Amino acid sequence: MPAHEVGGVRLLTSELAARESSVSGADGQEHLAWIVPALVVGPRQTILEVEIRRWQDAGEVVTSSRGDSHPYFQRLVQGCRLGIVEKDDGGPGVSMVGHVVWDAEKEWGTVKKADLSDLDRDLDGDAKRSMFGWGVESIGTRAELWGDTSKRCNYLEAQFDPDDPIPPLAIYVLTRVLPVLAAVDKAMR
Amino acid sequence: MIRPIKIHLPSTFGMGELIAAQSTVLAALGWDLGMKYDAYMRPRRGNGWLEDLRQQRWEETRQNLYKFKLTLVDPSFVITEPLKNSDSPLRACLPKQSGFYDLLETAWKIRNAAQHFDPPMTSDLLHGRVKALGNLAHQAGLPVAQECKMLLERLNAIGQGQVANPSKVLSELQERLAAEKEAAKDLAIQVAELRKDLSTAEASTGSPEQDQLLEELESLREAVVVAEAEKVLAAESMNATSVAMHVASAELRRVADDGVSSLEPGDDWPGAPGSRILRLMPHVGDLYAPATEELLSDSVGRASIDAVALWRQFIPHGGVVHLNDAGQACALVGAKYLFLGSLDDLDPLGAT
Repeated sequence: MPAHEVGGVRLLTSELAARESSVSGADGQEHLAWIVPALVVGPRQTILEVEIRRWQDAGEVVTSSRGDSHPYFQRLVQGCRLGIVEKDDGGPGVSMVGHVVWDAEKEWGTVKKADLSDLDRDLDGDAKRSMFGWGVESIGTRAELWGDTSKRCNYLEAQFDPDDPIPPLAIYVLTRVLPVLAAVDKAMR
Repeated sequence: MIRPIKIHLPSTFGMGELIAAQSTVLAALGWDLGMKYDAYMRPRRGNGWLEDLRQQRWEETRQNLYKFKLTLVDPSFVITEPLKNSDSPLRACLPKQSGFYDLLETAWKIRNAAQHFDPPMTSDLLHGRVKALGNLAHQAGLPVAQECKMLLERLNAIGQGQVANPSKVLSELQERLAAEKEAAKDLAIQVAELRKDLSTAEASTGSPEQDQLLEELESLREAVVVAEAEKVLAAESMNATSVAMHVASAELRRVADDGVSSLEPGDDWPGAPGSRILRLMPHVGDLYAPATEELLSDSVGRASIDAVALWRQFIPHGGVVHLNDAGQACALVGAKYLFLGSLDDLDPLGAT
């Protein structure tokens, strides 16, 4: 599978190395998951091993190792996962598109609500158009996409083919890796 | 509309290359026939002719082919519809001479056999199939006929020992894959934007009796279907190019002259470590090439994944691996370079 450029980093997905394995999800349950691993390489000697883990109706994207990358990336090994939900009706897979906001003083990142302009800044480009290029079928607030009226109706959500690993992996890089990399860049200047 | 798929011209008789060639011939034939039908039908039956035909057939036959929305360029549809339905309106734009439908029947059988890889692909089998498909394309006046001729010439050339330089082939394939990747990305953006336009147009159509609006909607729907079909074809084309790259790189390893013989994995490496530096990534289960910023499986296929599974017995937490041109690897373990194994230990043909 060819590389995908996400901002200043490359996402290299190894679909041939995909495997089935039992994983412990963020819901605390054990799941028999289909895992597609990928490598994220970028400036500041960044080299992260990430993977998408998909099970029956849900899944997640996580960082499995930061290797020799900057210690800030340990935050992604410990948390900030990207959750995926596959709808019961066979509709598209969805991910809530928040992004990591880095607190330089505490040297700690937290996933917070984002809008498209936040993502444009993270990417330093047109995030919506780029996401279409990675296979995202639609992106908008939950209210725009399916008329959500809950208190999360203004949260961004991306919809994509639930069998395609690229959109959630690329969203993960955009919303998790790039903000941490920006913090690393700032700290190392 | 320019066909987004080119026929793959193999550089060897490797099975992967031959399958890639056959797959692209069928996809190109599907495209050319689909466009021919569309050019004939659209002025006569309107923009929605494909869906109208599908619904009619579904009501008549209940065949699975017609159960869901049809793809105009699907080889299954473009061959089966006029072949199996004597009243098909598509027959009107096809040749009338005797023998054409025998060729279409042959194409139908080839397409089915190709789906099931039965029998296993050989150069003779491909030659026979391309000849029949090329003949059909020639009779129907399709552009793919010329490319079938070029493919037959290439098969003859390889048969006579005129094998292309594998490193040149590999770099050509890498360039082609990069171009195809860019085209696939543009198509994905195009599909998403068309879908958005369609959804906006559907939401704003307040008066369904307005013919012009309905016509615009239908034309947008058609554009979405065509763009989606192009996207699928582009992905197929990328897969075929990848397989061809794996075969070409295996051929390069085979002809390399720096191989070391009589070594068992775990033996001391006898000379200077190979010049290609890779990094074994233990969680990904693949090798990373920092010089080109790519995974080794992109260029060699499954061999990279299988190698990692075996080589991890020596470097379980990953690390730097040196590879020579013959695909043999060594790594610094403790104070010595040890032979880890060869990329072709499990997959000598480079098949993926």
